[in-house]
Amino acid sequence: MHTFTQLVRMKVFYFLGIFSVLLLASNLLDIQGIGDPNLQGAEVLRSIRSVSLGVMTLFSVVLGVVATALLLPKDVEDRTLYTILAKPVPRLDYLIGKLGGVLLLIFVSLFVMDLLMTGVLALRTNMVISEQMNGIAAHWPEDERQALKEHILGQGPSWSLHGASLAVFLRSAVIASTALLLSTFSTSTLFTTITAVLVYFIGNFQADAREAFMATGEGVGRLEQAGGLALAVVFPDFKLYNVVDAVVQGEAFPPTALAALLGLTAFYVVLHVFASWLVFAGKEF
Amino acid sequence: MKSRLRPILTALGVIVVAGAIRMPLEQSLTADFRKHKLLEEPLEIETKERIGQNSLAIALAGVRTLVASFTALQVTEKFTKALWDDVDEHAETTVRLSPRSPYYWDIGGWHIGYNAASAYRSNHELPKLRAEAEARRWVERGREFFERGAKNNPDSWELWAALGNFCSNPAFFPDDQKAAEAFARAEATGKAPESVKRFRLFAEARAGKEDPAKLLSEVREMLETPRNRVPTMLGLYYALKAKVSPPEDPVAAAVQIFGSEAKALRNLGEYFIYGSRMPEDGVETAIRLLEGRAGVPPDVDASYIYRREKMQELAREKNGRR
Repeated sequence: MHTFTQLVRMKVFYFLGIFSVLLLASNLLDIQGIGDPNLQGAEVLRSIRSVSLGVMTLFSVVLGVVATALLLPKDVEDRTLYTILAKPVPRLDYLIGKLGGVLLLIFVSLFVMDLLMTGVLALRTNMVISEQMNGIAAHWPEDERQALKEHILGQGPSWSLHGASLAVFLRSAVIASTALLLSTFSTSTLFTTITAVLVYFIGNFQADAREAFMATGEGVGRLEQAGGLALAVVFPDFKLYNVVDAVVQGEAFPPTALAALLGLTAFYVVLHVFASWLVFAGKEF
Repeated sequence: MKSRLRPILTALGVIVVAGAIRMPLEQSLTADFRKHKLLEEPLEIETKERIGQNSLAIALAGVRTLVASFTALQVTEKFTKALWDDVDEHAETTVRLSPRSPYYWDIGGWHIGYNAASAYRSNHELPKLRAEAEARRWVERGREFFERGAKNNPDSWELWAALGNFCSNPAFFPDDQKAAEAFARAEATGKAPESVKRFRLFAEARAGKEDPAKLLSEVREMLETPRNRVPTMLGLYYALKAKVSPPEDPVAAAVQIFGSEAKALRNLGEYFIYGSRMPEDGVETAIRLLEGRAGVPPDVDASYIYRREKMQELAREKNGRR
C-alpha cells in the first residue's frame, strides 16, 4: 500500500493519467469522422474501442516499466531501503510489496479507464442507434432494422471488452515484473527503463523466434534456430496479449482463453519475482 | 566478482529452464488463439517494409489495430489528392494490419475499384485507349481487393454483397456469374437482408446460365412477399414468364403482374431502358402494345422504344469516336 501511495504522489503519473483519461473522454465528442468522412454507424464504435484500448495499452506499459524502474533506486536514494532491510522483513516480501504496489496502481487506473470507456461506448452506441434508425434505416423493414440494431449493439460495451481490458492489465503485469527483475541488478533507472522497453519489443517478436526454432522446413539455418531458441527461452511472449486487437475487431473473448492468459501471466510474474529474489537476496547495500 | 555474478547467472539459469518448460505451452496457446481468430498470422516481410520501422515497432507492441486506424486515415488523405498508387498501398497496409475489419476492405475496395477506375476513365489528359486500359486495371485490382476481403471475412455478408455489387455494375466491366456467386455467399451467411437474394436473382438472370424455369419459380416465390414486389423484380418476372411460355395476350399478362396498364408500361419501360443485360423476352412487344393502347406515338420522347433507340445510337456514336 505504501508503494501505491508513493507512486500516486509522483506528479508524472498524474499527467500520464489525466492525458489518458482526456483521450478516452474525447471519444464522447463526434470526432471520429475527422479525416475519415466515410466512418459512420457501428464503425464509429469500433474506432472508439480501438483508440481506447490502444491508449490503455500504452499507458499501462509505460507505467509498468517506469514506475517499477523507479522504485528500487528511489528507495536507495531516500535511504528507505536501509531502514526496511534493517527490520526483519524478508527480501522476497519487500519485492512482492513493491511489485504489488505498482500492479495495484495500474489495476486501479485501468479499472477507471475501463469504466470510462464503457460509459462512453454505451452513450455513443445509443447515439449511433438513434442516428441510424432515424436516418438510413428509417424506411427499412422491421427485421432489417432489428438486425442493424443488433449489429451496432455488438460493437458496444461487452464482457469481451472487459476481458480485453484485463488482458491489457496482464500484459502490464508481465512487463512490470520484468522491470523489477532488471532493476535488481541494474545500476541506474535509465538502464532499467531502456532495457525493459527493449525486452517488451523483443517479446513481441518472441513468437517469431520460437517458430523459427521449431521450423523444420528449408530456409532456416542452425544459427537462426539457435538464436530463436535463445530468444524464446529468455523473453516472455508478449504477442499472446494481442488478443486485445481481435476483440477490437469484434471477436468474442472466451473465458477459457482469458483463463489461459491469466495462468501464463501468473507463471511469468512468479518466475520473474523468484529470479529477482535470487539476485536481490544476496545483494549488499 | 564471481560472487556478484553468481546470483545473476543462477537467475538466468532459472529463467532459461522455465523458458524451456513454457515454450511448448506458449506454442500451443498461440496455435489455439490463431485457430479461434484471437491472434493474427505473423506479418509478412512486405507488410513490415510498407509500414516502416517506427510504425512496425508500435504495431507489434500490441496496438496493431490502432496503427491500422492511422493508415486508414492516410488512405482518405491520399484519396483526396487522387494519388491512386498511394491509396492502394495504404489500403493494402491497413487490411494487412487489421484483416478482420470488413470496413477497411469495403472502403479500400471502393477507393481502388470505383474511385480510381472512374478517375482514370474520365482523365482527359490520357489517350482514350490508355484511360480505358488503366480503368480496367484498377477495376481488376478492386475486384481482387473485394474478393480477398470476403475470403478473409467469410461471415461478413456485407463484403460478399459489396463484391457482388461491384461485379454487377455495368460501368465496371461486369462479371455476372461471379456476382451471382458472391451474392449467394452473402445469403449463405444467414445474416443478409432479403434484398441480397433479389440481387442474386438479377445477377443469375443476367449471367443466363441458370435454368429459366427454376429462376422463374424462385422469382415467383419471392414475389409472394409484398416488399419484394419492386419494379425490376416484376419486370424480370414478366421476361422470364415470357421466356418459359410466350403469352398469347402480352397486355393481359402484363396487367396481371403489374396491376394496371399504366403501371405495366411505366415499370416495363424503365426495365427496358435501364435493366442493363437483363432478360428482355417479350418486353419490347408488350411495351409497343401498351404504348399503342396509351396513344403514345413511336417517335416522341415519351416512347420508351424511341428513348432506347436514341440511347443505343448515342452509345454507338461514342464508341465510334473512340
